[in-house]
Amino acid sequence: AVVSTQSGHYGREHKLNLRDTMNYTRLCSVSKRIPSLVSSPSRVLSTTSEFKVPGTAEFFDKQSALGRPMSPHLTIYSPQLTSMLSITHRGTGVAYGVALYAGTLLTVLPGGFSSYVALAEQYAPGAGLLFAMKSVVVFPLVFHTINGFRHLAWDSGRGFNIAEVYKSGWITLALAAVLSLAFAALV
Amino acid sequence: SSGINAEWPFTAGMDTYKVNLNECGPMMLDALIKIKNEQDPTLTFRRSCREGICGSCSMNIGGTNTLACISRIDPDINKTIKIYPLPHMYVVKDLVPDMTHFFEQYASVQPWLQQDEAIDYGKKQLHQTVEQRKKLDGLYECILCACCSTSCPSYWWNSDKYLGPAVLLQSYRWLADSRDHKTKERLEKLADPFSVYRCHTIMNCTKTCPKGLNPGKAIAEIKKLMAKEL
Repeated sequence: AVVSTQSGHYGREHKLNLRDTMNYTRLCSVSKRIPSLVSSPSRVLSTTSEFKVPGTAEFFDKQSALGRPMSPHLTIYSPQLTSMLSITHRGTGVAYGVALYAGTLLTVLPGGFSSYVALAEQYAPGAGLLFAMKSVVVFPLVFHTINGFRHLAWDSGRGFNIAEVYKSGWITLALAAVLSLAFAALV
Repeated sequence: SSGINAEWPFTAGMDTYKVNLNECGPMMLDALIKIKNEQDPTLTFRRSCREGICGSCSMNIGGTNTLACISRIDPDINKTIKIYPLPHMYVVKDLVPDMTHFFEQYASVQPWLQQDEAIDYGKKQLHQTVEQRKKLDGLYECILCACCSTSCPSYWWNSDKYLGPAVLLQSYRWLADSRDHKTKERLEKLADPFSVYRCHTIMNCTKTCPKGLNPGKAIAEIKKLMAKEL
């Protein structure tokens, strides 16, 4: 049988255009040169011994014994809506937990809660700045609550495809911003 | 130039290369191979199929984890693209991380069919309806590239005990398989504070999966199963 290969016809066609006349170079920064060390002797299989999958402790011991560096993570991973909203949920949770704790503490400290409110009122700034401050203070509570419902939906198995995650994420952020401003205006 | 700082411990840094895109294929892997062929033969990275099915060339490109062979080079030549190995992994050399622990975690979920009686392979068919088989769609296609697990901040901080999205997706693949009879045992094996429950639904995993799979959803289904069955 004769086998013909179609070479050339389906090869990559270089479309000559203006770009070719320019020095169309691109810079690529690549994480660098770490000379590889000789692999440890335990990796060499003999015909009679069984290959044993190394356990967790052995893995981490080996890595530190070899002095291997760890690849960067927080410093290089692109911030995305998924991770940013997640960490905001954690941050606002901590913030509003601390505020709740502090607020409760103020109700039992000497003088009574109203004396501390009066004290704060003495230092109250002008209307504009006060509105901004109120919005900032109420945002953690509002955001965390709305995002909390998003989490509950996830716990029930709903809203997981990435389009839904992004849509619900932007809606949460927008709603939290709007409601924070609304509450700051009302109170 | 690639001068190696030979002091112990080895320090890592960045090397920058210029690539003429008119003489290069469209994907990041094409650029890496071109650099290796023409500029720096010591540049080290894993690669095999060059079509997004083997999972070898997973790395962090431009801030997110993907497969280099199906990641198009941004034609904007004014930007420098940064390429890093998969995040929070021990580096063997350049872009090559040590994947041993990842595969060990995969082995630990016993990713094979288990029935009540020993299976006499070839004797009879293990029947499954069309609906039952549909449940495996979106699970069996995982190529174990580790892009998802290494995009998860929770896996960064707890990779020793948290299994991570890739392994949990595969664990769910066996939990969801109607032919497997060991669902209860599989769930019991996962019943500790770390294996599953370090997932906080951050969802970086689903965002970054180069095959379009949804590990976040699979983990949520595992959590539901655990709440129901255990």
